[in-house]
Amino acid sequence: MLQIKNLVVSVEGKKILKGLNLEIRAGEIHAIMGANGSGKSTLAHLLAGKEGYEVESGEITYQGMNLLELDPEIRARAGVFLAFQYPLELPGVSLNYFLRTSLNSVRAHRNLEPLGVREFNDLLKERAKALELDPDLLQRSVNEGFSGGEKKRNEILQMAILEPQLAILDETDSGLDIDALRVVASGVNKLRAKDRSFLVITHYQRLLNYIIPDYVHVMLDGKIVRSGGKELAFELEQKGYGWIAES
Amino acid sequence: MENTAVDINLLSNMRETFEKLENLMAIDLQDQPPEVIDSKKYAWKMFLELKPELTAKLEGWRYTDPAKFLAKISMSSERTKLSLALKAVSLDGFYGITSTNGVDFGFQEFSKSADLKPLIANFSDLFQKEAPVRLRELIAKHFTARNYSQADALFALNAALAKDTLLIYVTPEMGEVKIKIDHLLSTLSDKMVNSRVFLILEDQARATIIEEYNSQNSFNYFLNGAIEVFVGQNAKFNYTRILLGDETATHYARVIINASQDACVKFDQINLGFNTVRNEILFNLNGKNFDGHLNGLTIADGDQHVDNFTEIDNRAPNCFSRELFKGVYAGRAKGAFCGSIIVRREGQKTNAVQSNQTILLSETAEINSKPQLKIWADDVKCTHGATVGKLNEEALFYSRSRGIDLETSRKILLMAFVGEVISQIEDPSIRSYVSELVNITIGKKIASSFS
Repeated sequence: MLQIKNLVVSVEGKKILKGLNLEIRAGEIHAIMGANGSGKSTLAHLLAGKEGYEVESGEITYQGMNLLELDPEIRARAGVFLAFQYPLELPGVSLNYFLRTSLNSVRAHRNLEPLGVREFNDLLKERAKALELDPDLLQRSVNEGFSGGEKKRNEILQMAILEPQLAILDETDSGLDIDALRVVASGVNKLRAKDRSFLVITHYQRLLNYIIPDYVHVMLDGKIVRSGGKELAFELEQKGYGWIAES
Repeated sequence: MENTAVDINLLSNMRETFEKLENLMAIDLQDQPPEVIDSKKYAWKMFLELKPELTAKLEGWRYTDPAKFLAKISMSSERTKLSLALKAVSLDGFYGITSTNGVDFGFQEFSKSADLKPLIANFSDLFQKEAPVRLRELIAKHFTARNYSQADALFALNAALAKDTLLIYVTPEMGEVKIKIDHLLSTLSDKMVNSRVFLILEDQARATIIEEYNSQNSFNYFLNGAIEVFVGQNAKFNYTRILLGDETATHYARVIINASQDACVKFDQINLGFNTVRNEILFNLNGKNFDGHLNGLTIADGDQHVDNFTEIDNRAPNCFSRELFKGVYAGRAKGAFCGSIIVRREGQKTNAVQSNQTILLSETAEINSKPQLKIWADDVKCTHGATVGKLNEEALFYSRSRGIDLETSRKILLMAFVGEVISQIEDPSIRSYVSELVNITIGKKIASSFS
């Protein structure tokens, strides 16, 4: 699904990723853990196609394509989804309209007929209900006036609507209380499938109690310095990131 | 610079042009009633007196050189007589009037219901035909006996040269009167057109008027418009002006709204066309408890220049006004917003909020924003704010990361930005009509500014 080889990336002349390697196969859940500033979010943004990053060397292959050559919208249509750590507010853009435009862009790419207003509304209502999102929010502007938890659940709602192949969750647990965390995790777990992979980026181990990863990677100073199974997350939680740096 | 040479040449011919214009006016006046002759002759005299004073040195003309308009006066004035066309328009519940080249609206009435109808008339005809005495009084009071002040040269020119004036008179018995006025510029050469509209709403009356300005044939037109509105006590007036003219044409308009006690006015100025535009919109709040808004929306690209000059003059207590002007400028387009809120000593408890927000889509686009508060009363709430920015890159990325292409993402964000103005348009059919026009304009202008 996704291969990252020897990736070196800088922002405004400063190296952030310093030779990162990662392979994710279809159906796998990978977690990347690391301290603040280790480069986790840079990786997430880079995968989604954000501008402002300079790839000095290395490559990213997604489903056989050179991901770095694709515009963000093409990546999204090809199945890459980023759940933002800080979802943007779009005042004046109704969530319903935004999501329908989004889904129909993705469907067009997959040679599917666009969904009409009614069909889409039914789908949206059903998916929102599963995430315990207030139906009133669907009529409001995207994320405007949403609480932190509502914003995060809205990200998962978008993921549930777009049904991506590779979902990247960037610190989706930050700012969530335990109930919201459970709802969000269950939303993610419902989407687990043979042909769908997840890259879960988090600072804390607690999200991984709910979304059980196949692999855990520890990122330090722009590189993956250790990989293991889900037990690595527990070890990190007990010993802290300092333990990795020292060892 | 070929254009400059032409302009200088035209300016040197000014004296000759003025003589021609004066002769034309004299011919028009031959069969007019004395009230009209007097007011027109006076207006012409005032134009000649005030013209030298209309320069870029005037405070209100800092961002738009009046020469852009004055130079166009030397074009021959359009005199073609074309008849009034009444037609059904696509807007639900509206009657349509078409004025071609600003002349000859004729005297026609049309039925709204069986016996109640708005009076729609050619101004000068009113003196010959049997106009209601009350209406003649109102016209004498508000429109013929007028004083001109320093910056009024173009307004006086309009009063002198406008061949016909469209007059709409609304009484409360008529119910809500809905009219769409299409001003069409269509000739076979460069022309100046003076168009003039008077609207009178009696006490308690209700009217929704939409005016659309269009041009055909891509000639160098100069439309000099004047709209004067008298809104009676407790009357309710919704008014939308849409500029769609070709980018070879120039538009200047003076809009004066005189509001009485308890009046409610919702005004929306939508600028989507013309090469050079200046709107001077003046609200005179003459009675207490006014409630309303003065909003504007500009989408400009290429070499367009759009100047919105507004003044809300609170002359009575307890008036409530909201002013929101938004603009999107691309290419080398230039915009100006000068908004004054005046609160006179009588204007205690005034509550006025003004906001001007602009998005510049290119490095070469420009906006000058100048709010002004002139307050003589001590118990008022007045605020103003101005913002200028680019499209939010983070928001664009967010939208694209959801599979929405760059152009559509820009369009969605821009429509959301201007949507705040559109959503405040009172009449639902005008609201959706404007939304559609703005959507099309944004689509075109985005395509041209980023391709």
